[in-house]
Amino acid sequence: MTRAIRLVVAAFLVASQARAQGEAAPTPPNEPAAMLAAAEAELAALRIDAALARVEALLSRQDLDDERRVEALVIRAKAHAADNKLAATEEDYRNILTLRPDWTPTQELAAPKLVQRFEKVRAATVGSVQVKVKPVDATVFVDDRPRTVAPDGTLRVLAGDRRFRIERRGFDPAEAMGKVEPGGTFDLAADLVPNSRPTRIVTDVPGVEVRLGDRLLGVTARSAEGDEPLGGAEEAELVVEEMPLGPRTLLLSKPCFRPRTLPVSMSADLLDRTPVRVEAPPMEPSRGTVRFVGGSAAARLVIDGEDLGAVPAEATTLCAGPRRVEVRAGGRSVFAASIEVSEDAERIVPIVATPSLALVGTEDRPPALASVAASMTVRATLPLPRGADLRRPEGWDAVSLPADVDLAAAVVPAADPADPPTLLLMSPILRTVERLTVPLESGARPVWRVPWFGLRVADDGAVVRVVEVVPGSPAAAAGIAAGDVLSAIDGRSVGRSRDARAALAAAGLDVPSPLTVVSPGAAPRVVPVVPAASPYLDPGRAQAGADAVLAAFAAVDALASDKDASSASANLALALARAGRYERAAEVWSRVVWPERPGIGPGTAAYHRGVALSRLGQERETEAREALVKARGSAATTRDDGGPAVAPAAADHLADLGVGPS
Amino acid sequence: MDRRRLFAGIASIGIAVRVAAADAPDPAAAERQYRVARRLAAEGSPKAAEAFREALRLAPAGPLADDALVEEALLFGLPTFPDELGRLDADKARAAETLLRRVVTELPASDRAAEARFRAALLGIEAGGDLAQARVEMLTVAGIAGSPWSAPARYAVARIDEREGSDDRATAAYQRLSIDRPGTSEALRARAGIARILLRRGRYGEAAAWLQEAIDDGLPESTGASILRDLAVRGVRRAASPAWRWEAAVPETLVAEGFRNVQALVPGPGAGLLAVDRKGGAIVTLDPSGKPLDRVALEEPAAVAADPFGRVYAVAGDSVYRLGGGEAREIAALQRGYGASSLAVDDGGRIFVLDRKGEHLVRAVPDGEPVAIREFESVVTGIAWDGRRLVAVEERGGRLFAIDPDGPAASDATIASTGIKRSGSLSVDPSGAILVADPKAGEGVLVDASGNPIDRFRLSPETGKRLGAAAVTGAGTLAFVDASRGGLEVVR
Repeated sequence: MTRAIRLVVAAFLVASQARAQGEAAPTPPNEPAAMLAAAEAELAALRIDAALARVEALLSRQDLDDERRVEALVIRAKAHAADNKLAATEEDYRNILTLRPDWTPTQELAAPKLVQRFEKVRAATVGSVQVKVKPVDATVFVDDRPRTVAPDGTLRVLAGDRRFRIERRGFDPAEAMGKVEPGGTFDLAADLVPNSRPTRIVTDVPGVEVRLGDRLLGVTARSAEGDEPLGGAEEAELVVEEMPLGPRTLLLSKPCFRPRTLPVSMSADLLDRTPVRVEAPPMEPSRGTVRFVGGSAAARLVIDGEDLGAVPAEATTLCAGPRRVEVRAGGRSVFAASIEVSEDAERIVPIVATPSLALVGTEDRPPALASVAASMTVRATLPLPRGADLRRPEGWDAVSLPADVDLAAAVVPAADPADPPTLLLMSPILRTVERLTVPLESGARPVWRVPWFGLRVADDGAVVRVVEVVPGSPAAAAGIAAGDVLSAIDGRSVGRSRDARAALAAAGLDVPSPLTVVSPGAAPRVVPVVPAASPYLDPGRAQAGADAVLAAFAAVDALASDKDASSASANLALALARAGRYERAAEVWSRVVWPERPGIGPGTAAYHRGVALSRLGQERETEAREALVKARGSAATTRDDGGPAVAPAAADHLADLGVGPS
Repeated sequence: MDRRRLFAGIASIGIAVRVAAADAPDPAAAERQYRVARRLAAEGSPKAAEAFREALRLAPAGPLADDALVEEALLFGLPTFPDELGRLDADKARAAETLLRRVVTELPASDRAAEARFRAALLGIEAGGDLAQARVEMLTVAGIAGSPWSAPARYAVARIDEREGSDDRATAAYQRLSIDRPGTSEALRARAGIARILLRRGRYGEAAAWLQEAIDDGLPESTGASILRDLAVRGVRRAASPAWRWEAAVPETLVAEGFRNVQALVPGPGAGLLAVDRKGGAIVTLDPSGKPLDRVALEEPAAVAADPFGRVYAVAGDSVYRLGGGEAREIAALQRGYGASSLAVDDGGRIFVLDRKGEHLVRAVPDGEPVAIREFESVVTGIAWDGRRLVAVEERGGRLFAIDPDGPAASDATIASTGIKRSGSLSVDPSGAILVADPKAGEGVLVDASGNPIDRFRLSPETGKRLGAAAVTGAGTLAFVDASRGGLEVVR
């Protein structure tokens, strides 16, 4: 190689190295790019042997892709040229053209000698293909490799027997075999046959999903800004590049609209490949009416994740179809349900708050909890913490219960696998843990209101005698009087007062219950009595876990229901007091707001709050006295509107606090 | 020191050591002994008491000393509620109380001290006890927060208040228990307590409802709640319709025969009756249906009465007897030839005896001389304890009046003038309603505790029956003897 060739090669390599340094981030030394860069650097420094050694090392790698391999061969060709080994350079050119038949040396290396050598090699190795296919933008594959056709329609390929394949979306592919002579030209001609048609589906509203069978073709959208405006203000389109030829039925759907079908029939047009415009029929809105029953003024309605504000008192209109309803109050979810909104009929959705349940050490609801767990939402399933004694409330500090869990159940395996596991019920509200050995009573969802008729009964031999009728009560208004025999309730005869009380307690609220009564000396008569709804304070049950369940329901109902909020809070406070959490109980009682009414009322709340405060020692004694004095002056009852009066009991508590009769 | 003296000295030291060892507390042995005693107690062994004493002796101040004392006291069959009083005789009650007092005074910090104080105070409510002192002790126990004896003690306080006539205070405590301790035995009993007070106030309907609900919720039958409920329901019926009054010719029903010789009829325990069979020489206890349950032979029986705890007393000849277990045990003597026509025993166990002529009233004193209470200007034909007061009726005009046994005659108060021409007997039901009968006229009148007429009974001459002894029962029925045929008849 002449000195001139060396200098040209070196100058070019220095320039390209500088470019590479300015453009690329450093690469690991074993990476092909780094090795290539190092080889070029060696070459630029005219350390030919070193450059060749690096290139050889690179070419020996099995993982080298064709592109890198070509680059390595180009460097080797330059090195050989710089070293004036022209035969070797020719061999490099041959190898390069085998891999990239359309490769040509860069202009910077266009030393006449080298160009001649290269042209000689190429003439012996490569032929030309004159591509004449329709459509012209079809892709040509040579021996399964996609190749780029030059603008003049030529394609250089390695001489020999070659397999050609022409493809384009929307057309059937074509294949051909051909022998390419070195330095010769081969004509490749094909007219592809279309098998689909581009289609522009236009809808009157955007966001319409277009499906062909199960396949989603796309969603219509308004044209982008600057595009040619579509017909209507809301009009939207979807261009489907390959709509299969022949008759097809498209399914159009959009939330809040009725689904539509769109029949299309595509035919081939070899001349016109512009998308066929297909106008869908107008999408018709589809909405249904939903009435939410219950909920509190503070509760918020969330539909499909969108906060719609306060739960509407009146019927509201929602998009038809499956909807996810959630009610949130107090910063937490208190109700969730999936509903199907229909155009045909108003749907009534009672908002019944559901407590959150956490399962620890199990993923299934324990059977012993089945009766209540079905009314709860499983908020979390958590592993059993290691080493923590979950039988004690403190042991639960090791369990990462979410903040809004109302009840947690842990299944703790016995030491002996033959023994049944222990089921522990933990109330984060009461801070109590109880072991459940028998299933919780079915229908354990507590009630906060009960029917109140205003009559009391007693056994009198073989009949049930009405022994007291509260003036002004529903029973009194119906003409029932003390001394009457109550012989049947809702058509079912009652022979014992216990059964009568149970039947009265089970009566529906605000609906008439037919009571059959017999007044002295008179014939039996059926009297429809509409019971009043009385707040109900659960006196507590001895069964393990009952208070934990009650507290869980009370906690959510206190947030979720205006009608029952006070009663639920009151029951929560009672459960807290039973659990010995007097301070918290007093605090909850202070939030209970009952109107002045006969029976359960402000005096009830004052009594129980006073009792809770009286358990907190000297510091709260003044508050306790004030509350109990208020209760003593009231005509309120507890348990229900017909329950025991709180005034005398308050007087007894006051006596303990050193307060005499007023 | 010679060898003999030396040995004697060593021997005496050895004995002293052994004695000291025997007296030294041995908690482990005491615990073993306590377990044996408890086992014996569970088996009903008569050796249980001694075993508890031995456990106490082994460690008089040990951790089980209080248990040994209380458990030994429990062997006497101690009551837990005031309603159960009256089943221990005085000697046993005193013995049990002594054991319990030792816990209160010697082991006040022990874990059974509250129970001991409660039980001792409860025994103090027994006849003759110091109610005021018992109430203070009960209040002390009631104030122990978290003690299982707090609620029973509060109930006992209410019971004492009820007995003392402090109805409002008793109602307040009962109501508190029923609200704050729902579902407990104390709450159930408290509801019955409220009902008793309502009954005395004539509020039958409310009383019936409270009782029924308590019964339905598990109030034991032994409390007599069903009987009270029946009484209350009877009151409701009577108020609801004249057709349910005795005076509305409600037919009487023959329930038993052979009562020709019955001189007196009084309410017995529960809804039963006590009959004085003078000629037959016996006191007969009858169940509510008239069936004889018990017959205790007594020479010349003159009067009989049951105290509020169900204990039966009788006067025969010049003596007062306590009846029980089919036997009569003399407990007090009257003046020779005093005779008796009527007997009443109050809650405190004080026994009042009206003489045969109806002119003198004395209080019989066990092991002592009778104490004169009154000398009546008008002849009195009957006395009875109505639960609060000693009531009496004058023969002429049937004036009912209350006697204050601790005060002068001037403190006696008229309750009502019944209008009965010639009263023959007096009986009271648990609501305090008083029946005054006039056998000669064949009629009777029932007044409430305030003297207001509730009902009236007249035996129609056409029936051919002749009114003999008559009484209102615990359930509110009227029982009388048809003197012409000797039948026991009941008006429901």
